[in-house]
Amino acid sequence: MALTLDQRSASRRESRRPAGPRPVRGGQSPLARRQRRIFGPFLAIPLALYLVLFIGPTLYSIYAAFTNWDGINTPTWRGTDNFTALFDDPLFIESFWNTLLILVVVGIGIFVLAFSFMLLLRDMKGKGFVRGVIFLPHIVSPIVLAIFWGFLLRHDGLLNALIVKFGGEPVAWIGPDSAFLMIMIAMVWISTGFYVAILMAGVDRIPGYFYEDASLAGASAWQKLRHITLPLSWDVIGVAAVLWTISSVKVFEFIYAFGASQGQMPPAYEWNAAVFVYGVTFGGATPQYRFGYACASALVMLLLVTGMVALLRRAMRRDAVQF
Amino acid sequence: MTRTGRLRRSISFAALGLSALLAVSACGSPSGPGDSAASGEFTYWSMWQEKEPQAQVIKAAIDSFTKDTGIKVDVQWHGREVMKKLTPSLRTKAAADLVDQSMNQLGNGLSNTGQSADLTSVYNLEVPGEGKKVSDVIPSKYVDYLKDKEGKPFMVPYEVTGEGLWFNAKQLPTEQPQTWDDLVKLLDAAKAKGVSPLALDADNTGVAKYWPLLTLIRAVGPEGMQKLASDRTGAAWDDPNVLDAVTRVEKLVKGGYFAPGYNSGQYPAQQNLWAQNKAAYILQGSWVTSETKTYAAQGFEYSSVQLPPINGGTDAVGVNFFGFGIPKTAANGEAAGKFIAYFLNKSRLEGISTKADNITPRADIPAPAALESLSKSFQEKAVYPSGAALGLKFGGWESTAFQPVAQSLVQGKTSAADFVSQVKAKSIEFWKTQG
Repeated sequence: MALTLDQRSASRRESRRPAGPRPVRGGQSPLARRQRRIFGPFLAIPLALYLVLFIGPTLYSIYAAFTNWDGINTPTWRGTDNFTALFDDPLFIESFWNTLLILVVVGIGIFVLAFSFMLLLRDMKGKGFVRGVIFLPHIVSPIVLAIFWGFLLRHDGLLNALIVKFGGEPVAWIGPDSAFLMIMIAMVWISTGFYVAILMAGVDRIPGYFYEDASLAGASAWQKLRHITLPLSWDVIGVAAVLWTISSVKVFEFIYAFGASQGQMPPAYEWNAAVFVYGVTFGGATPQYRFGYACASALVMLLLVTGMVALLRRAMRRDAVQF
Repeated sequence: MTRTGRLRRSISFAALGLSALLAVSACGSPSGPGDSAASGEFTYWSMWQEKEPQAQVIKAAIDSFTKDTGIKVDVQWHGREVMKKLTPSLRTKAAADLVDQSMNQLGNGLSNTGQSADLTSVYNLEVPGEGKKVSDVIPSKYVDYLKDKEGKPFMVPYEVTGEGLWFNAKQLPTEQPQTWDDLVKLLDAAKAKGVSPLALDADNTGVAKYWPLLTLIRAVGPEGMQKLASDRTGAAWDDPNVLDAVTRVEKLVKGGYFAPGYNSGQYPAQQNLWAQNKAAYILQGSWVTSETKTYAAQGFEYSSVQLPPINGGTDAVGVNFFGFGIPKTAANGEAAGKFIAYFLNKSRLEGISTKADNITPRADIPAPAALESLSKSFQEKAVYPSGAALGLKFGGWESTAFQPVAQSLVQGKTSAADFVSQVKAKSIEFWKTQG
């Protein structure tokens, strides 16, 4: 007669039982056994939710990227046509470059500023307060910030009113040539506080005596940064860089609230990859329902981010310094 | 319990779940507004927010509809994103039996995706209390543009909008300029008085394209514009008429006809400026009248003319529609259709004019005073679907190849000649990738 799995493992346990008092079954307390039994269902629920709500749609998007799909009817296979079309699409090219500009230029801006603040704030009195002030824009909704930014920079805005008051001519802050630059500056303004907080948390761990010792040895501020601060907070910097890479590609609300009006899409020169996805699906007064195409662009961006993160991790790899 | 037992139990649970799922989706068998199975209720998802005047007018009609027919209406005020919310349910069983939006939104979301019910049966219904059919009260010159590729109507309009060159009739002549030179003379007269001739919110992508698009339509006609959009070879762009029309726009841009800051402001700064008499004219949709009402200078009298035909081109008027659609998979399409006919009764529909300040499709309902000029041109002239229906027929082309360059032209970044060559090149590129 064939044994069931349970019977087989039970007989194995029987044969291995040593002499002496009978131990708790399976070498575990009843509590541990009950915990183990409940482990499955507890894991299953989040796993199922994650599969249904995240992994499933992601896999479907990857499939949809190779199809012609209006989001409603059955997708029809298109092979790699969506991808060749993307790189011939001036709107996507512009969005792609703008995304890279946010990633690299804004990223550099944020980290230069964050490092400067970090150095300034380290020995400053009331650094908690200053940190709070810099962090503030990160808490406020990007929509509100976008409205404020427009209010400040538009032709009849606050800044131009000041310039005119002092006898100057209004400046085209958000004209076709400068609007995206203003968006990038806003991105730096919004995100710097967050990265200052992360970097400061890393720097605050470094014991003060390293710096005292360096001062006694006559080290300059730059030498302290290079030989103490950077190596001892390297892992935190690496995490912050990865975080920025991922979040920079997802910037959407600010640009949309800043540039879009009356249910229309923002001007093309303000688009990034996330805005592009919205623009070819639901966005604008005449939505296009090009879901397959949008999925292809999202996939390209996903691959870009994955590549960037891998590169970044490799470039930032150092042996951890114990202290 | 043994593992095999557990497995068996899980399989039976899964089977149960699957059959429940199938049962649910089976409920979504399509039934349209022509089906005989009448029901005592339907669900309406609205593009309006509950406080908006249009919502108030529709809500009053719903209340009396339920009283008169016994059909209950589950109304949900979703606002402008209504089609986005409805889309996921369209294929199996539409979450709403009745929905309203613009011609472009319903056309792209319901008709172009094959998810619209054939509304021929609704057009054949009698408007309760009038002894006339729906098709008798909605002009056929409108319905012609609200049909799918097979000629079946997908929309019944209750509100009509359009573009025009708007101005304050208290200060400026109301005669329609017959030629482009007449128009430029009007603009020069404003300039001479020290008023900026034109207001334009060039950051608004919908508004920025009006000057190039409407001027081109004036030269080549709406069909000609569609030909420009769909020409895979790009050869249509070589027509000298095209460059001539675009050059006229370029001259306005280079000639300083647009009010200072048009290029670096934020919508609706310029249209408010215009309503304050700080600019003479604005090329905008008819909604500019209600949008600027609270900002307008005292005694401002809204009126409009159309751009003059160019080189013997068209003088037809662009018209846009807001109205009802019924999804193909709606369960209670018939009841929804009855409501459409009920709402079009003159006494109920006129609220769209008297309370919501908009033009209705019915010729026997007077337009609100601010829109009288436009309403008159709808009735007297030939009409064409707003923007030559590019958004509906060639939406991808319009947003990829046309709109960004058109915006760049009015922003003074692209010359007329560059505009033509760039749009031509982008058109060829676009159609190459569309397979």
